[in-house]
This record gives sequence, C-alpha cells and structure tokens, in this order.
Amino acid sequence: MDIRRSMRRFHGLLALLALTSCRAAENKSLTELRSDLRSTLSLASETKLFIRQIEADRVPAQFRAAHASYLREEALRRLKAVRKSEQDAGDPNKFYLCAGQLEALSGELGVIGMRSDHNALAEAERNIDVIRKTLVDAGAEQ
Amino acid sequence: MKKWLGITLGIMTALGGFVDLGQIVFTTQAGALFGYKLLWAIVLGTVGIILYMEMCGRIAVVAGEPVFAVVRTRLGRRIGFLTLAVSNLLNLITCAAEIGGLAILLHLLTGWSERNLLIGCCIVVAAVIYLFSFQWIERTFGLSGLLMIVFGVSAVTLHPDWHQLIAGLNPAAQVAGRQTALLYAYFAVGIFSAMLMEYEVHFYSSGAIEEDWKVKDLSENFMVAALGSFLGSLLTVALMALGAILFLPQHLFPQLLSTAIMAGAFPFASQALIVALVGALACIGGATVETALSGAYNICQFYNLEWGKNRPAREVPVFTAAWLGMLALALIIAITGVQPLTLVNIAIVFGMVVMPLTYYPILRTAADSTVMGKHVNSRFVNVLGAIFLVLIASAAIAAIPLLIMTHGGKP
Repeated sequence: MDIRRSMRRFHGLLALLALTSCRAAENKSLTELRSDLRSTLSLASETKLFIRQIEADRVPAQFRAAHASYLREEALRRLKAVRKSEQDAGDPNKFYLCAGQLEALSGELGVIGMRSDHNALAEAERNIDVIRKTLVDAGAEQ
Repeated sequence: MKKWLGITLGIMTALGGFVDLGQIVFTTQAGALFGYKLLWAIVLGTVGIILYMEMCGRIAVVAGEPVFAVVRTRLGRRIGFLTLAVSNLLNLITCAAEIGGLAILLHLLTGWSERNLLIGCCIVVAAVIYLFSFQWIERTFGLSGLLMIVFGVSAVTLHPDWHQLIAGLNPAAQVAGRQTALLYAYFAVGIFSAMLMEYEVHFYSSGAIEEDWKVKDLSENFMVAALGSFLGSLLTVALMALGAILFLPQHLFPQLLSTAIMAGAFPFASQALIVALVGALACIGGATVETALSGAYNICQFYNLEWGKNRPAREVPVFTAAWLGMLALALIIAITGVQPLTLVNIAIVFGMVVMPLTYYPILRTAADSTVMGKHVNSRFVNVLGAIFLVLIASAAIAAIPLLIMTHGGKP
C-alpha cells in the first residue's frame, strides 16, 4: 500500500517536472536568442579583459596561448549551438548576426593566441570593441 | 606543533569542498550576476558545514562510527544502500570533473597536451594516495591550498564595496524579474549545496578515525572544523568579490576555469598568476583525493569491511581496490571529453537532492544519548541542526525544478 502511494507521488512529481519543462520550451527560441546574444557579449568582454592583461604583461606565455585556445573553443562551441537553433528562430536576422560575431570573435582569438606584439593586440582590441558594439546595438544588454 | 598540523584536516576538507573546480567558477559567476547579494548563502553554508562536520567528528570519536556506518544503522539496509549508490556515483562524477580541472590547470601552466595530462594527473594522484600517509596527504594539500590566499589579496587590492558586501548578508535582496529571481534562487541553492557537499563529511569523519582522535581531542574537533571552514569560506567570499568587481560592471559571465583563475591574480604581475594556478591545483587536487578516498571509505564502512589509508594495502584489499577503481573510472569519464564544469554542476545539483539522506542520520545519532553518552548534542545544537536539516530538505526539493527553469543557470 505504502509502495503504491509512494509510486503515485513519484509519478505526480514526474508529471510536474514534465509540465515545467513544456512551459519552459514554449518561449525557447526567444529566450535562447536573448541568452545567445548575452553570452556572446560576455565572451567578447572576457576577450577584451584578457587582451588588457596581456598588454599589462600580467600573463605568462603558456597561459596566454592556452587561455586564448579555451576562449576560442568556447566561441566555436557556441557558434555551433547558435547555428543549430537558427531553424526555429523567431528573429533569424539576429541569429545570423550573433553567429557572425562569434565567427569574428573566434578569428580574433586565433590571433591573440599566436601573436603578442603590441600592434596585433591593439588591432584585436579594436575589432573586439566593434563586435561588442554590434551586440549591444542588437539588444544584448537588455 | 602536532596540534596545529592537525588543523590541516579541516583545511583540506574545507578547501577541497569549498574551493574545488565547480565552486571556483560557480561563485565567481554568482558575483558576476548578483554582486555581493548572495553572501548570505556562503555564511549559511559555512555555519551548516561547521555544525555537521563537528557532529560527525564527535560521533567518529565517541561511537567509533564514521558516516556510512551511521547511515546504515539509522536508515536501514535498503535506503542506506540507495544513499551509498547515489553518493558514490556523485563522488565519481565529481572526481572525474576534478581530474579534468587538474589537467586544465596544468595545461595553462605548461602547455602540454590535455589528454596526456589527464592520464599523468591520475597516476600522480594514485601515487600520492598510495605512498603518503593520511597525515601527509592532508598536510600537503591543506597547506599548499593556502596559496589560494592570493585570491583574497587580489579582491582586497581591487577595493570591494564594503557597504554592499555587508548588505549581502541580508537574504531579502531585491532582484527584478521572474527569470532573474529564479537564477538568484538557483545560485543560492547551488552555493549552499556546494558548501555542504557530502564528501566533506565522509572524508572528515573518516579522517578523525584515521588520525586516531580520542575523547580528549574533542575540544580540538570544533576548532579544526571551524577554522578550516572559515578559511574556505573567506576564499569563497573572495571569489564572489572578484566576480562582483571585475565581471559584473562589464556584463561578463565567466564560464571558464581559466578566466576565474586569471581574476585571482588580476592586479598583480604574472608570477602571482602562477601562484594562483598552483593554489588552485592544490585545492582541486585535494578534492580529487577526497572524492576518491570517500568512495572507498563509504563502501567499506557500509559493508563493515576493513579500511584505513594508513594500513598496508594487503590488509585492506577492498578499500585499496575501491579508491583505485574510483580513480580509474573517473579517468575514463574525463577522457571521453565531457566538460568538467558540466559534470561538477550535475554533481552539485543532484548532490543537493540526496543530501538529507546523509545529514539526517548524522543529526539523529549525535542527538542520541544512548550512543553519545555525555557527549550528546546540546539542545541548542539539536535545534540548529534541525533548522539546517529543514533548509537542506527545502533546497533538495527546489534544486531540480530550478535547474530546469533556469536552463542550468544560464543568464
């Protein structure tokens, strides 16, 4: 008897969890778009912070190369995820914009990982600023 | 001197629990999203872990029973076995994540291949456990983990807003919007859970028996639990402060271990970054050892088999095979390429769900005068323990719905 009651409660809990998931899925594409824009902006800001630390000579060479490659992997991972969700996008233009900025960002990170001269870093920083501005204009901070 | 070195058990337990891979990133993220608003969750978690660490240390000394012997006695064989299975699965997942974290840190230090480092880390950890006595394991990881103080120095150098920090002690923070409120709740539950991870009490109570604590050492039990946890929580506050100072103003949500480590030495020259990396290596290494050994302790204590790190391997074959097996399985999981942070986040949330099954038997036993005699819980400790048990149960119920509703804590 107790086992049956426990099973009923367990099934009730499962149903509740399923309902919660369905409710969350309703606005998936809109929420995802906002989240993708925000996380791309975050990654761009992370890259800018990293460039400033390199310029201030606060990062050893091994760390610089490894961290740049982790950031780049993260950008490429998100790019893949963004491309996957483009099909159900509520606003395809913003998804394309997001994918484009991630591509540009991964390119800059490739440069940062390999070159540490002032000119290359300064140019990368300028390009990152453009990426950030584009994302902010697209509503990434909302 | 010996007494002071005894404190390293508390330090290693707390650092391995509070400042492990997941917590380093998770707390920095909490600071990046909510500033100091979740400081109360750290304080609450610290009081909770001190309370329960002291209780399980006292039970180990007075009754000679480590945590999983207590779990078996109080919960019975069936629920006890369920608790053992889930706890060890979570230990295994956490161990795999920590090995992954070690490889990342060593890759940042040396640039060597991460895959080779995974295997190398596993071999080194196994050699350390095999060759070192329990006391030397805790001293090595406990004391070298103190290099993480560089995170605290960085946070203070960057001038945190002390008024806002103190205001963070108030849990009734104003957060705008439903989604933000859910995220706030998710991070509160996550921080609380990470500070009370079960392997901390498994390791601490087994450590008390490994170190052969006697009833006369009970006065030190509280000091060891409190001082270690206090140090761990200070470092956790420093991580949150770094997130609040460096990342919040820039809308930056750090998702990489390397970003959180870079924040730990942010205002200083590159040598400080190396110190931060070595300190993190010690803490994450400590967590790897804690989870591997906890898995072995749990199995032997539940089935009443011979165990002990300080005993020769041939006298405790199941124990030795169990921790070696934990490390080998963890390596297999880590080598599949699963993101260590994903693993550790799963362990934190699902660890919360089964947490009441570990903490309830500890409270019941410590409050039982027939077992504890004159060392039974005072009324005050019983009430406080019961309040924390209710908090743990509430967080356990909320953990999975919050995980789903926030898409795994994504802002």
